[in-house]
Amino acid sequence: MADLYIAVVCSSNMNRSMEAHAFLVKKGFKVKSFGTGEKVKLPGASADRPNCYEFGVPYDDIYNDLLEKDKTYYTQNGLLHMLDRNRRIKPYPEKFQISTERFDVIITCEERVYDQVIEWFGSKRSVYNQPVHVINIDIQDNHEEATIGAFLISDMVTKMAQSDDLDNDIDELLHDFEAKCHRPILNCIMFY
Amino acid sequence: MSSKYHQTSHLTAQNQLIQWINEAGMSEGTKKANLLRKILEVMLHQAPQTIPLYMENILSFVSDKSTEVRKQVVAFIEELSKKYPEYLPKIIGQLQLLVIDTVIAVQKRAIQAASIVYRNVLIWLCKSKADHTEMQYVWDHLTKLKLLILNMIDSENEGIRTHSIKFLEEVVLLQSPSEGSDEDFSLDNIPTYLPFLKRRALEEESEHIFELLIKFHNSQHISSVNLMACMTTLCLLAKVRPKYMPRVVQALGDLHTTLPPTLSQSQVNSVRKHLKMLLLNLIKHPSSNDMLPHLTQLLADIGMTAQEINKAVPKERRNKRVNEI
Repeated sequence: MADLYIAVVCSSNMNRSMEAHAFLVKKGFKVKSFGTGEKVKLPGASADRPNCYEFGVPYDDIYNDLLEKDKTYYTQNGLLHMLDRNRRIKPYPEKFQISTERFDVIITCEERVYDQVIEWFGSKRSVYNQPVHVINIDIQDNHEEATIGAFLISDMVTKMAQSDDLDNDIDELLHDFEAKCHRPILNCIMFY
Repeated sequence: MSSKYHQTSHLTAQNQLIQWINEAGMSEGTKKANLLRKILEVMLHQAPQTIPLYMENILSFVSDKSTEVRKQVVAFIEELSKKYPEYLPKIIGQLQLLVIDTVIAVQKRAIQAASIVYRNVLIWLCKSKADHTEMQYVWDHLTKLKLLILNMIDSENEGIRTHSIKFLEEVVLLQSPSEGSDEDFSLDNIPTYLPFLKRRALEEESEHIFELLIKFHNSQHISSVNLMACMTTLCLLAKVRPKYMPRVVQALGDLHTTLPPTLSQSQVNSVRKHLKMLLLNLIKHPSSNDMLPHLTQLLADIGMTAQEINKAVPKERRNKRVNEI
């Protein structure tokens, strides 16, 4: 299945999903990335005051906003670097729940995001009766973990792409992958 | 001026189509599939007047060597059934061939299309002024198709089973009475004047298929993915056709106490999470009113606190019982 269409989803479509997006694109996969949160949230000057933006606000605008707010601070904590990477991949963070595209596999980066994805599918009737595998791998929301997570996701997607019949192989494939990556995996099948 | 412009544009589209169809005839594999994709786009969306001219050319690709090409033929049939159902008598036989294709990927795509075509045929039968023999011809083919897919629920291939579940869900929905919700097609829309369509027989069949889905859901050797697909299907049926609600809640309750022994720990976690999501979805739905005590008990059994359950139940339906548990 060389033409697998993949979605990687985290909460804000900033760190984990974008790291994986960048990695998978480099490997030649057909991939998109999304966030499921209400808003795009980035760490602020203090823990109780995050920087919040609407989905659809360009990475470029967010970059300039943070640059203006505190260039030294946001350079040191890596946010400006991350936003610079993101704006080279696509224009703006996208909300999963308003996407109209149909994927073969959706990979979520934390259980809460997985819940939101399946809840979204559960709230509507299928129109095309086209199945999609939804898979969760827990990845902590920091730079190092996002890098490791992108490796793991790429490894898993590569195995999926090598399968001639993913629907038939997925149980075994995820079972083997779980043993190898030592992280619990959740998965289910939903329909578009 | 405008009509002259349209004539010219139709002619251009037609010339383009002829060129692509000729090219497709001499190409293979991906190139052929890509050409076919362009042909279908133009035929179905820009120049539908060319459909009767070139339909046979497209349908003849049903025996093409390339899997992608055959999947394109399925897409063509699916789209035609929706937008131009008058061609159903010409395409229904081809769909049957694709459902029993030698390649699993084509089979799965064809079963998926069959669930859409099934609905479109019934809608067409309600509205069409076509000859009754033509209608019966389509219906007979569709019935054979349904039996083929019905037997595929026991296929050795996981994906074929998944697709069959979804197809059967569609059949149960279409062939059961609406029970008051008039938003969608149901048995009540099926005309009584067509001698080959018997409402009673169709309803009995949907009942039989529902039982089959319950049996499949309860089977001990079901895979986790298909179990979850089946759970979702049963819950949808319970919401849209409330007569199934008690039996669905019962089946989910049985599942909670006896999960298939073949599941790994992660699969158990996925199934339990899925069960919780579906039960919460059911408890929010108005058709579950009578089953509220059972659903509340089940949610308590899977570890939710009274407060959490109370929060999930819509305000107007909260009762003392929720707080008692």
